Amino acid sequence: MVVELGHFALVLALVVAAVQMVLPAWGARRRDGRLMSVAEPAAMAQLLLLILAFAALTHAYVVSDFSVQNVAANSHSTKPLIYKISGVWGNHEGSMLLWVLILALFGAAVAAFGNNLPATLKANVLAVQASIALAFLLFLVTTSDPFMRLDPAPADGNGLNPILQDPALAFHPPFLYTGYVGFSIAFSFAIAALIEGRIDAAWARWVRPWTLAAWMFLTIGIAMGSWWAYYELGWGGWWFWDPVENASFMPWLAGTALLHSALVMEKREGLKVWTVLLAILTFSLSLMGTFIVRSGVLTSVHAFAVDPARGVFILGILMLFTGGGLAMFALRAKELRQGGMFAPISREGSLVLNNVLLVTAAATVFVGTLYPLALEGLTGDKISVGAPYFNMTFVPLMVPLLLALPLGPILPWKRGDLFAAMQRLWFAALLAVLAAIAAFALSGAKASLAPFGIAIGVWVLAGAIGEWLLRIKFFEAGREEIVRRARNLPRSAYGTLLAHFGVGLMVLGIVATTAYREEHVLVMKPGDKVEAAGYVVSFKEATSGRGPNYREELASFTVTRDGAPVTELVPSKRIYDMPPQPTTEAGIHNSWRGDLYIVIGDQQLEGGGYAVRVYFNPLVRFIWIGALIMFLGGAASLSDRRLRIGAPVRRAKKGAVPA
Amino acid sequence: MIFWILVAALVSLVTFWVTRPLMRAAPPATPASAADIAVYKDQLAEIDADVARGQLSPAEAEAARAEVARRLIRLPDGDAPARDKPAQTGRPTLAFVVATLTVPFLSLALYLAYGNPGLRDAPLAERLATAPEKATPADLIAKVEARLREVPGDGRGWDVIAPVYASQGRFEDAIEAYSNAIRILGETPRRLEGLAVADIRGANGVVSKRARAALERAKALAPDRLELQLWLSLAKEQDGDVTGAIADYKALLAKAEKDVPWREPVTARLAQLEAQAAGKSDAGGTTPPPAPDAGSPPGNAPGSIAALPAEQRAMIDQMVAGLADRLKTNGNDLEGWLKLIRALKVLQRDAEATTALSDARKQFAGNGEALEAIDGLAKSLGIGS
Repeated sequence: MVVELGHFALVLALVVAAVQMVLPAWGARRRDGRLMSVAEPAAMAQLLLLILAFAALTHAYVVSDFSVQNVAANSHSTKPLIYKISGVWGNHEGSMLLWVLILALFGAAVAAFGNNLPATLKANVLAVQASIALAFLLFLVTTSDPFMRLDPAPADGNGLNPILQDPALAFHPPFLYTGYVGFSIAFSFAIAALIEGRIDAAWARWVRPWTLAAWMFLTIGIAMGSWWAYYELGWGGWWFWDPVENASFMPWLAGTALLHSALVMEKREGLKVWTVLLAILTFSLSLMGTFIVRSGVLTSVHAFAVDPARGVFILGILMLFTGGGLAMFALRAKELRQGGMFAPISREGSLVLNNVLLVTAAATVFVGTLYPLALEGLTGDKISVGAPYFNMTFVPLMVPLLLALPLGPILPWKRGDLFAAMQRLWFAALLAVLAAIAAFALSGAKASLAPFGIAIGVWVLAGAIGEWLLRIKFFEAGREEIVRRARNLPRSAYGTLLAHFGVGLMVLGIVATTAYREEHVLVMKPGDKVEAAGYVVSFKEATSGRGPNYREELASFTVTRDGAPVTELVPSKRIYDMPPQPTTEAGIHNSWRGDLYIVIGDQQLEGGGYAVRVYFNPLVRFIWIGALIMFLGGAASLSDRRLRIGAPVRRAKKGAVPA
Repeated sequence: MIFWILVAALVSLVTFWVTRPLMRAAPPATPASAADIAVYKDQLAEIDADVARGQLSPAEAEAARAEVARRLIRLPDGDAPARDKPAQTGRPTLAFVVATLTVPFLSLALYLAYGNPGLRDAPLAERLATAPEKATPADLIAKVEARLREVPGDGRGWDVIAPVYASQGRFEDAIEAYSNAIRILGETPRRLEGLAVADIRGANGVVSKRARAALERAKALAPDRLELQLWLSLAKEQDGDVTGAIADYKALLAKAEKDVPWREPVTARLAQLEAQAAGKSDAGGTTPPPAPDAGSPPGNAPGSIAALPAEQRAMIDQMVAGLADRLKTNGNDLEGWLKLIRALKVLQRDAEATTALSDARKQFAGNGEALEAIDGLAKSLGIGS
């Protein structure tokens, strides 16, 4: 009964979405307040119904109700509880249900917090949001029903793909989807602005915080995916330019651009039309990410749904919203009034440069991801576009972006002086040069471009801190003045500091781990030793064991450094019972200097040794710590009252100004 | 019944909730510019706050104020005439009626089309608790496994579960269970044979050293059991002792009861081996190569696959497709890739072999050892570059 009730709630949510799409939009056209105000309860009802449906499916997973086809296909009674729950979205149908649930969550948030929006804008935004929900609910109900039943129920389920049975991956999709779907709000606002033919002042105040929230979750979601790939896939790499990774990276690049152009729009009423276009593009890229992953056009570790009927449906949704959005833009953009003027060298100008570079970068990733697919579709030839392509195209775009990054926040709005800005950051430049010299001295001519990369990372880090020091007048004011200024600095400024600092850390981590990585691939027997990055790794023994739903071969290694024991690492190979698939569990020793990373391979037929791969990845943790700091920067910025959903009617709240 | 009551309650609640605004008084219409003015006033207040905090100098603040003021002045220039149209005041009765009818009827119709009303939930715990006599093998396995995790020294448990594992195709588990049972309870012909058969089937019919040792010990304990000899003869055949195997098979068929299940396959195999042996002795002569339907076993030359009967060819194709599928989902298996490339080449599916080759290279990019193996194979097969 619970299952069927969940199914009914899903269908009812679809009908409610249809009502929410039609009545408020009609009301906005007729200027009918009653019709427009249907949007709010409809958005709330849609959310509650989808929560009900999602809870029903989760319940079926938790109690192992194998009469639900989706549970039978993706769960198993012996699976630990956390993976029974994460199994809900570890498959096509369930993950699409999560998708629409998050979509409804954002719609309901607009309904709940949007009291200060002009009524027609709010009605149109919720109607557009409902149209997206309707398209995906139709997709879900007609082609990907998560509540399909089996009668009689099978004895046990097929189990979840073992490489997905992992804590980081369990929570990777919810974060990623919150990011993807969050951009739908920016999209809905953009389309609503085009429908109305004007951009309200409240528009800009709304788009930025929502974009920021989506961006934060996408950042952390991508970082989690990368972290998982790093320790679970056993290749020791952290980014593979896999089409599925690119699918989430493209909206991230466009979303980062959107975040910065929304800043100009909010503070200066500039770049209005461009921001609208960027909002449409960003969400379109999110939809394309969904299409790439969900349609099965690619077959990679992520593609668990391979069904052409579904692919065509999602392609239809993609074309409807991307094509429809761009067509609306082409028709109506000229009615939008352009915003403020600014000189090329100014804060706005630097943000335009940021946008140009980020969007071009997104375009290069787009080409690198879709060209092989298009070529295969047209000619049947399979080509692979891998790291070399992206190193040649993407990296050169990032270099000027990172070089300009610290200068942007220093430049004043409207018109500025580039030379003066550079002068103010002289110490950051000095640190960067010193870092390059140090890196060169330490590594020799081994990796000739790496010191340059290290310098860029240090430049961004020092620039972020330098900007802060300048803003609190660290070099000129007295101590009390400095403390007062530091305390009074708006949290959004700390958000910028943290986010840019995170970028710097990430650059350092990426450069160091790419250029200075150590790798040893060898056959080892118990008793053998190998030296890596100052550690002595000795193979102690190989044993076997059994986990709750897998058997494993474990190899234990003792790690010493200068004779002193450091740690014991136990990498393993697992074979899961159901489905019977192997996974590798790397043994990783973390330190600030870098990670020692050991993977055990197959036992050799002759001699009984094991294939062992030992890596040392210098500063690799900086990559994910950087992403986490970026996330925190977003949170700090979001928590700033002045960026909160603007409160035209609730001005009283603004009164709380620290003296 | 309760289900339909809940459905009815849910539908009425949602319908009422969603359509209620239509029948209430319209919210007061605010002029379109009111919201904008409020935003700009907020911005002015923020500028003052920034000055108070020392974030803006008075001069900067003055410039910012002037700019916001300019935006305020620009506002009511009628840039959106549609918005200033007088608001509709009549009750939207039509919308109310349509929505009130659509929500319940459309949702019910869709649910009846896609749902399974009346089908009960079937949580596993409930199923196990209510119908012990109907318990499926999976349920029993789960129960025994749970016990063995607690009491790993329970030899009887291992003894019971071992053949179940084997019948489910979980050969690794079966081997482990048989080994444990043997260790704890001692050797019996049944356990030894079970161990050996699980080993052989797990290795796709190859009789390993371990299996052979187990079979020989079992034979010492139960010399009359023909099946043991059958497996040992297979081992003999795999060692290349075709003549010995033929003699063994013949002896076994003579000794066995009429209705043993393995009579037919062994007879067929015997015929095959005899044909093969005959072919070999002719090989030095001038006889032409065997006709395509001669049923000769696969050699290593590419041409001989085509000589197989269609049935066997289909089976090989199926196995290759299975391997390719497995590698698609789990590509980190060098042996598998090598096997696939070789198989495709032997099947004369050269284009696919080349693709698989490049896929494998991609898969193991950066792994020098694996690449060497792949390149070595490619060279020996004369594909790729």
